[in-house]
Amino acid sequence: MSKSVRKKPAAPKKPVAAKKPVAPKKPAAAKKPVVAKKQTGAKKLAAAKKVETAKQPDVAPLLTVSDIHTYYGDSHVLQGVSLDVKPGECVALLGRNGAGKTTTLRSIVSLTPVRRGTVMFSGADITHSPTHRIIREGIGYVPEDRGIFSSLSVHEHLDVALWAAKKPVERRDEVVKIFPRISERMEHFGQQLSGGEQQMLSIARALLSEPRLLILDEPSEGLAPIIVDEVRDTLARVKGTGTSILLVEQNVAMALALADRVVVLSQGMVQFTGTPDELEAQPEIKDTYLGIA
Amino acid sequence: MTFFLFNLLNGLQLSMLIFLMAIGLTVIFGLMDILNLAHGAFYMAGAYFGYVVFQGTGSFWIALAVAPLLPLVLGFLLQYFVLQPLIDRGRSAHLDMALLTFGLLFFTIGLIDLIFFETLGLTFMSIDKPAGLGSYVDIGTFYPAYRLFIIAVGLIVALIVWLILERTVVGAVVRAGVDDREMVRAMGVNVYVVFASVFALGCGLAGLAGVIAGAELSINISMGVQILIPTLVVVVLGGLGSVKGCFFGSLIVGMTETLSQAYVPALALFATYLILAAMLIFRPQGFFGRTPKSV
Repeated sequence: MSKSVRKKPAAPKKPVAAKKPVAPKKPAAAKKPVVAKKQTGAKKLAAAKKVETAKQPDVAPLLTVSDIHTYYGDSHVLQGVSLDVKPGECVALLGRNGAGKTTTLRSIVSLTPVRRGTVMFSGADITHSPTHRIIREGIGYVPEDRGIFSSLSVHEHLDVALWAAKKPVERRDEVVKIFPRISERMEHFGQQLSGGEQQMLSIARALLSEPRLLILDEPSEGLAPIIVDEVRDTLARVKGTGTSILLVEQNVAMALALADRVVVLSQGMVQFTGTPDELEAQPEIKDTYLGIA
Repeated sequence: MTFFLFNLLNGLQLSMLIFLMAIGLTVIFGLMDILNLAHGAFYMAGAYFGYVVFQGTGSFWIALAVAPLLPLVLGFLLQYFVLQPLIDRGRSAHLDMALLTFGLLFFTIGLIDLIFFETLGLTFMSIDKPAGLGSYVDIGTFYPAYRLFIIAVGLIVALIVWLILERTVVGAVVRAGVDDREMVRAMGVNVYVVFASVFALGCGLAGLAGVIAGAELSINISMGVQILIPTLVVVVLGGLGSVKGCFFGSLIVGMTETLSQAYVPALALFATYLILAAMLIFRPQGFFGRTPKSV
């Protein structure tokens, strides 16, 4: 099973082409529950939630987080979080401050160790792998504070990312083309960039390795509205290339504009999983857990 | 005037010796937060192993080339198999690591005493200067050629380290690590290998300083502690992880120690510490240090 899934990395590149012929061919109603059971095994909670997401029922998830528990010292921060991201899909993780959104992202890439539960990426168990191996499996990580190095030039940021991902120099030129603002600032140092430029650099750096999944922690934080729009459009283009996205956001409007599915967290637990439309249909969830009616 | 020139060169020579020590210490501290007080032990390992190699081969140059390899390898093993696993298991990088490496320094001193003095009965040990560097050079005053050699080695190493850190990708990875270690991991860099390699190179340079000092000063069991103290002052003066800061810090400490001894001997004992105190009060991050990033 894991072998066959691992061979699939090319598939997410053309999700639109792959999705449409598959769906009508199969007797979807009969096959759906069987596949769901197989994918999740014992995790019935996750299976139950997956049935709701009718969008791509027969595609194996790229990332599956199953019932993870994470602690900071003695404090039990994540109390059984489960979610998944399918190839080409954008999932938004919403919730108030302290709900455990950042911790969930950090747990996935092992920056904060998971105590119980599993994280599967592309068919492989990465729960206890060191961070650099997880990243090399095909994940791009854009952290909350953008993670820009003050003593490195823009050029050096990209060089280090190229070196880490073992990519040729041409890859840098490809990425810079998508981010024209960055190309004008190649010799500037990290601390000389504006917030928006730092955010663009952070995203560009994460994309250099051609990740199958891009993880972003509050990319709109502290940015002017016009720059937030620019970030949103950039992410929409990234999604258009078939890259999956897992996005944590305080800016609910931006998140709902991009997301195929939404996961709402509160106090380290998943309170809701569904499409943006389903979320709109349940104002009490938005009111209770997001503070908007 | 010639007296001043003589002391100036002496100061420069001491500065370069301290620089060879301090550059490793400051990059290690800046990159992985480990205050490696065992750095003095690696200096001693270089000097004593240099002595052994010199006795075996009769060649200063072979000793200079081979002896730093021992502290280099020991440094790698110490960081990779002892210090990093402890940090990963939640031991504090500052206090626990300082205590552990301080203990290691005294363990090394005891071990060396046991081998070279208690067992072999060696007391006055030194490495002979190589032919050609044992003489004096006339530069207005007669100055020992070997001390000019020390100055040259220090300047060359400083230039090489600066070029590597500022002009190569691997150097950029190290600087990035000093800025934000976690982000370097999140870019897919195996920081464990980077950390242990940088630690090893720092220890190798300390060993190089030990061999060089072994032919100028005497090799004895207090040499590690003696050099460690001015080295720590340099790390504070220069700012963590900065080659430039480390270089200027070394010059200030080396010059202050030498010139105060020559001109104001009463000041010599504490002149360096006055500078250290002033630095800590007015610019605690050092000349070229950055204020630590708030999380």
